[in-house]
This record gives sequence, structure tokens and C-alpha cells, in this order.
Amino acid sequence: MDFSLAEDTKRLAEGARAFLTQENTVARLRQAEQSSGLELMPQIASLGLLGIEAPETLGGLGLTAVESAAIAEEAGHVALPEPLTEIAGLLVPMLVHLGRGELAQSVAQGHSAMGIASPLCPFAGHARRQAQVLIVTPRRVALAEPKDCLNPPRSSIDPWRQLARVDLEAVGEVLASDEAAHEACQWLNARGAVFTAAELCGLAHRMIELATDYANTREQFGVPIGSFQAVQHLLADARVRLEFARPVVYRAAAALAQIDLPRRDLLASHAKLAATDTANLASENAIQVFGAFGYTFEADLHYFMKRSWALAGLWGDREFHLQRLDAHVFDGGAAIGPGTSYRQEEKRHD
Amino acid sequence: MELEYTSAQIEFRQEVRDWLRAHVPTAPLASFDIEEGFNAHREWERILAQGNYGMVTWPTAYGGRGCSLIEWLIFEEEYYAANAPGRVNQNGVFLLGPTLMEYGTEAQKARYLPAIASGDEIWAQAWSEPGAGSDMAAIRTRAKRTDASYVIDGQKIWSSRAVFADWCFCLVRTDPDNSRHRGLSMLLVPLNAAGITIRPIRQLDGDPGFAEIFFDDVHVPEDHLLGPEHGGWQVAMATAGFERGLMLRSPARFQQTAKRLIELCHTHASRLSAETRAGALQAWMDAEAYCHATYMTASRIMRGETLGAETSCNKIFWSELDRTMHRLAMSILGIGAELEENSDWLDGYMFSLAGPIYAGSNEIQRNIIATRVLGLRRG
Repeated sequence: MDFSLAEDTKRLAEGARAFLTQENTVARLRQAEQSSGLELMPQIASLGLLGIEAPETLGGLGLTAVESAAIAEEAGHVALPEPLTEIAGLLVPMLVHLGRGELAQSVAQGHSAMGIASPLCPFAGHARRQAQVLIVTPRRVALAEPKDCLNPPRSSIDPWRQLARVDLEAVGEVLASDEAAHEACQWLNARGAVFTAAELCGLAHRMIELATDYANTREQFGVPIGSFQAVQHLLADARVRLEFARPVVYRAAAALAQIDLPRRDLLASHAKLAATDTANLASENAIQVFGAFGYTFEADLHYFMKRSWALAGLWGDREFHLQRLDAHVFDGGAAIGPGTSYRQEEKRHD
Repeated sequence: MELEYTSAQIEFRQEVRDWLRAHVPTAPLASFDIEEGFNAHREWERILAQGNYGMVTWPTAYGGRGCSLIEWLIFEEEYYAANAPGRVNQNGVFLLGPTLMEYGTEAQKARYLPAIASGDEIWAQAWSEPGAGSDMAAIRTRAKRTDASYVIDGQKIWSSRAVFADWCFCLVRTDPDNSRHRGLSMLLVPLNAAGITIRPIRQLDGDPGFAEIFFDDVHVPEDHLLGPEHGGWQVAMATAGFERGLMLRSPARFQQTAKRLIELCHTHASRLSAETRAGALQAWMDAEAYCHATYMTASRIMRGETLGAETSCNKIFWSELDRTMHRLAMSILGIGAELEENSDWLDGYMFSLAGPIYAGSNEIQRNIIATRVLGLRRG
């Protein structure tokens, strides 16, 4: 039993953070209208970040969902527009799982623009740029052409989303069906929830940092407003929630490889809820610290806040996950109480 | 990251479970805040020590088992799942013990630790004063150095279990010329020393769980000094770190309460509001989150990392969770909540109200997070 991030994982995340912080500045975020949101893809691909979980035989890094979560957290921290999390955490592992190694390799190297959709995420991002969309439902996994599955683009409060609703029944090349599709869809939904949760943790962290910096420089009554306890405690409260959301997310990430399905899904739901609530608290308390400034485009906070709203509904919204957890805890006979958080009989998938 | 127990850890859990099943008293003990209950709990500490479970992480030389922190968490999980009695010596076991390990001389460790593990010496904490609560650096109780001893004069208050305890670890001012954080020292003081007067204070439940301690020309030998003379603040901060950090409240305690709360929801299912059910679900999630965070912290310590100011997050989280869970239970019990027969939840609710106050009030913890974790300017 060792619930700490390995040194290699931390180094990987630090490297990603250095790159992302340098390249995806808030100055870039302010240019949403002039950008495809995909300019950094070649660099991200060349760093190997799209193939974190792809086996080394396919040119991947051969790492685990824990590393994917660590990278997703960094992507959230900078509100990265590029679909790094989607490709590295969802598409590539799913294509590998379905036995489409060559395609996975091509996507991981940044050669194929591909979106992914499921009933819990029926929108494709970067809609105008996708060459293909992987549609994953409990009955069928299919690879569809954009002309067959994408509806007209929709505006989102997050200018970087570039969404289009996906027709989940669209014609396409069928990669799996029935039981195999069902299993793949459940797996994908759990992964989507966990990595979105990791991004939300990164976003919450960043919003607390932005508000802290502002509170240390903005003066009223002749002193920085951050020296007032009423202001300090708003940000301390958000930090406390974050401190207890991250471990849940990593616990859930580690469980993605496990075959104890009810527990995997239970943990994914918990992770998504904990991270969503943390990001909500961080955004509400941060805008309060920024005051009127925070209610405008003059402060950078809104990019992070809006991304967190967008992610809150993705891969299962609060109501979905609350209902699922409620069923597990109250009616599902889930083992609860001391000593049940890490079951003795869990086996690893790999 | 490896989230599976080793086979040795699984065996250890089974061994603890079997032992507790054979030894935990079938009827709950009386409160350790009254004399009869205190003695019964001391007897339980001795039984625990005979099983060599007094404090499993301590070295064997001091009455422990040399277990890792993960094994301690396993022990605690089994302990709370078995509804074993509260630890009357928690100040000694969880606070003074680790502090002695860090600051004690070899002689002090050999003298005090085994008696803590065995339950023979029960400790109280003597830090707060009428004029020094959250502002602990305002301590005025004096200890004057004479040839080979310290002479203590002053007054301490809110000392839990000091009415019946044997010893206290006492924060005093040894350098009268230095104010605030400088000039304090930690002294180990037997509560039966000449010149000590103890006045019980009734807590919310009516029992004398607190005491006021008066020191009038109390002599203690110089080797009762723990850590450096005038360096008591750093010793106290280490103790407070253990208190807020890992040891004082293990996750199992709250997971057990959350489980009981869910069971209570089942019992009262026909009249349960959606709000209460949602609250219980959130409480269950938070108890799990506290467990995961603690396993993560324990693993980091085992890798050689040290805890920082982020431990202040723990204390806020568990104390407010505990209060929420008991408030929900009171709501579910409704018209019966006031009755003695429901005193489990009622006593728990009263005690949960103390959580955000003791071990450094939650307001002080939020100040620490703001200034030392986030880097906000000091007011």
C-alpha cells in the first residue's frame, strides 16, 4: 500500500506544467476568436503526452491512468483549449482497448483529428476540425464521418469549446457491439468522469492562485485586501475542499484499471462530484475576492470559471453522479465503513 | 502508487480483528470524564497494552510494535469498526508520545513512553490560560529556574481529563524578559506535585471533563524539561502538528460515524427528507475523502516527506464533518433526540461542537492556511 505519486509521475507532471504554462498563457486565452484551439497539438504530440497510456510498442509512454490524471490536472490549471485529456485519456486507450492499435498510434502522434462522444458526453469539441468521431454507446461503438454525425455548431459560454451535438445513432464503421460495447462504454464513462475531475482540480487550484495574487496587490483601507480575515477565509475554504478532492480523484484514477466495476464507477462518481463542488466553491469565492473586476472580461478569472462550468456537466453531471452514488450507498449493498475503502480482494487488470 | 495491502498487512488486520473481538468489552464503558469511567478506561488501556496494541507505531523498546503508518490506519479501522472504547490517554498516546520521540532525551523516552503505552500514566495537556486561548503566545504561567529545578506559578484552564490524570505537559514562560513566542518551555509535571490545585469544570454533558490547574510554588526537577529551554514554542508547534495532522483523529472514526448515520437513515427511511438523505450521502463521501487524503499523507511521510501547514486543512475538514453528521442524526431522531436513550448521538453531537474549537480553533487554522499555504499577507 503506497498512495503517493511516484517521483517519475511528479516529474512528468512538472514537465507538462512548465510547457503548458509557457505556451498556454492567459494572453493566448484572450485570443479565442483568432485561434483554432489546436495550435499546440504538434508540440503536445511531440512531447508524447497524447500517448501516455499507449503501450511502448505503439510508440506510447506505457504509463497508467494515474499519469493521465496528473496531466489532466495540469491541462486544467492552464485551461488548455487543446483536447489533450480527451485524446490521451479517452480516445487512445479506447482505440487500444478495441484492438485498433494502428489508429491509436496515428491519433497519439497527432496525425488524425478525432473526437469522441457517448451518451454522457454527446458533444464533440473542436467540431469543425474533426476528421472522425468515435461514438461509444452501450450498444455499439462506431467510427463515423463528421458529415454523418455532427449537427451544426453550438455556442458555449466557454469560447474555446466549439461544440457540436453528435448523433449517437449515426452510420459508421462498427468497432464493437453488444456486451463488448457495453463494457467499453462503462469504462469510457468512468475515465471521462475521472479525468474531467482532475481537470477541475487544476482549474480550482488556478482560480485560488489568481484570487490570491489579486488579493495581495489590490489595496483598500490602505492595506492589501488579502490581509483581511474575511477575504482570507474565503480562499482558505476553497483550498480545504481542494485538499480533500485531489486524493479522491487519484484514488479513482488508480481504480480505472480494476475489474471491480461497481467500485470503479462509485469512485469515479465520487471524484467527479468532489472536484465539481471544489471548482464551484473556488470560482464563487474567487469572483467574490475579485469584486466587480471579477465580473468582467478585465480579469482573467472568467476563462477558468467558464471552463469549470463547462466541465461540470460533462461525463455525468452532478445529478447523474449523485443518483448513482445514492443507489450504491443506500440501496446497492456497497460495503461501507472503516476498512472498506481499499478492498482486500481487488485484483489488477494488467 | 500501489493501492493494495500486502499479505502481511492483511494478516495484521485479521489479527487485530480477532484480538478486538475477544477483548472489547461487550457493554460500553461509562464516560471517561467521571471517575468510575476513567478507571474503567485506564483498565482498558492496560488490556490493550497486554495485547501490545497500546501504540502500534512506536518502537518495541517503548511498548510499541514498530508498525508503519499504514498499519496504524489498519489498526484504527478495526478499532472503530469494533466499537472499542475511546482512548483515555489520547493526549499521551497521540500528542506527547510523538513529541517525546522528536524532542525527548533517551532517558526521557525510556522513562515516559512505556508508561504511556501501558496506560499506567495518563496525560493531560496544560497549555490554555484564561488570557491565552487562540493567542497562545500570551502565556503568563511562570517557571523560574533554580539550581536543579523549575518553580512554577500560574494557572492553566480547559485541560481535558486533568481531574483524574496523572501528569500534564505544561507550556510555561521560563524567560520573563522575553514576550510572546520566545521564552516559553515545555515541562512535564506530575499532577500530584505539592502546590497544585485542580478545580473540575463541568462540560456541556454535565461531567467534569475539563479542569483548571493552579500552580503555587510547584517544584519540578530540571530533567522534566522537554526540548530546549526557552524553545517551548517549537516543541508545542510539533505537538500541534501531530494533533492537527495525522494522529489525533484517524479517518476510521468518521467512517464509522458515517456508517452509523446511513444505518440511522435506513431505520427512519419512511420519514426521511430528500435533504437529509443528500446530507448523509455527502457525509459519507467526505468521510471517504478524509480516508483517501490520510492514506496519501501517510504514504508521503513513509517516503520521507514532512508535513507542512496543509495539516491545518485536516482539522477543519474532520471537525466540521463530524458536526454535520451529528446534526443530521439529531434531525433524524427528531422528537426523541433529547432522550438519554439516544445519548450516543446526543453526546456525540455535543462533543462535535468542541471539534472546531479544540486543537487550535478553525478560525486560527484558516488564518494559517491563508498565510502559510496560500501566501496571503498577514493582517
